[in-house]
Amino acid sequence: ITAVLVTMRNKRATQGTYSPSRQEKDGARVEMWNVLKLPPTERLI
Amino acid sequence: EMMPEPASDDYFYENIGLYGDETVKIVRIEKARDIPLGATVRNDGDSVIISRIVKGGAAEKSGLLHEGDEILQINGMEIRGKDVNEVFELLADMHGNLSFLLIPGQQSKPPPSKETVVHVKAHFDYDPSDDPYVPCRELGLSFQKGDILHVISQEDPNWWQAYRDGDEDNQPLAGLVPGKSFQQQREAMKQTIEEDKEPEKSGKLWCAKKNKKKRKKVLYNANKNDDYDNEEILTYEEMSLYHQPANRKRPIILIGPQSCGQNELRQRLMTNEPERFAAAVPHTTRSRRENELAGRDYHFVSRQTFDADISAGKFIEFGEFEKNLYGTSIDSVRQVINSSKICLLCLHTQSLKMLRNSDLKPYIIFIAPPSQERLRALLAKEGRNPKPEELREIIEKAREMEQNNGHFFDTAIVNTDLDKAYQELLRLINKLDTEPQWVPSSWLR
Repeated sequence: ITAVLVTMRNKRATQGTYSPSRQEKDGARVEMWNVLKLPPTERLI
Repeated sequence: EMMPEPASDDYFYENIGLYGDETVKIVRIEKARDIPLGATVRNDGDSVIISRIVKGGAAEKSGLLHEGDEILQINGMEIRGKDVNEVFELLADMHGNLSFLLIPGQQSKPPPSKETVVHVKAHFDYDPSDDPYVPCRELGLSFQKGDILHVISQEDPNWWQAYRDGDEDNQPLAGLVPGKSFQQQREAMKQTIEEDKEPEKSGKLWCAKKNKKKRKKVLYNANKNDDYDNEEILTYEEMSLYHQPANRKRPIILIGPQSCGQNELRQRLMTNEPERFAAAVPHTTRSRRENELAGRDYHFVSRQTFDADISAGKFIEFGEFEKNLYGTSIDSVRQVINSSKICLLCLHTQSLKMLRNSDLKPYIIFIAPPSQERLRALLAKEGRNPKPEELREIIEKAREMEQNNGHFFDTAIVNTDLDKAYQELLRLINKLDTEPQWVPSSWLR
């Protein structure tokens, strides 16, 4: 069981949520979105 | 457009010197109590800049305020240096004649082109209070899948200005909705992020089972609903009003899970008003029986002919039953339309895409099951006694149909009681004679 857990943990280390290489493959647009800032606040007058 | 300056504007002239060499401009706009002018402001450093002119407000109608103008003062009150939230509070309490001291924006815009309204059907739900990207929260317009939106400005490609159909009278100011490509990109991003999250889940032992289930579901979508394109991101569809001509009735398509009453409803219409309703004559490869009439009961054709017609895309749907092929052709629906009768069809969801791409202009009604308890009662009336899991399955099936094909439906009827559902169905069908309906604009081109 320990061996399984260790393999799992190692696997996990390489498969986190953040994987820019993968997003790069999926297209530049996605990349842009991740760095897109919120627009400046507008208020209605 | 400038009036001779009344005495009350004197302070402006005294203050203009404060702004050095800048070209300043004074405009006056009448503001009604508690009604916004219909312009938005943003901060740019110390400055308060007009960011957006909203259709339907006094600001837009006056034509005196422009995007990019900096507001220096309003009625002599210093605005530069204020936070937009303060400006918002300040203006909310003001009314009457407002004098703006402005530095006109540098951007020179082409003269306003003639307003063209685009009508779209929304294929997704939108809640601006849940959207951090909406530039102005007061203006966010919420809508639900199936709502018709009148898009009156796409000047900002990311944020369209729109009214929800039916809202125009009590809502003078347009609202902001995400633009089509903006929404597509956002959804694409969401999907990528969700996919990326999956491997992390599998790191936990107990999630292995969960993942398997999910994979199975995707497979189901891909196979059983082969017309449903998983890659497609649904946003908006352009719509136009179409009034059904008296001698060319739109075919009525009933869609829904088995056992929810679509066949009973169809049968009832045909029996009660045979002069109004008709079924399309199907094709079959079965040989004709003695009491049958070719062209009335079926179009009897050879297997070769049937296969050729399949390849030629002539069938809306077809299937095999006891080694014979049966199918409904586009032409047989057209024959009913040409006879000025209303064609009634119960179809599978797979046929919808084909039907929508034809020139038949179908009116598609989803017949949905009621709650599990009501469905049990409904089926008990027919002498059936389904198990709870069967009931759950029907309801789950309906939910899936709605999820994957809801954007094709014109309307839905929840069949809680067959008599009531019948009356509602008849009312909807009759309405097509008197009221124009929204149809995809591509149908009318």
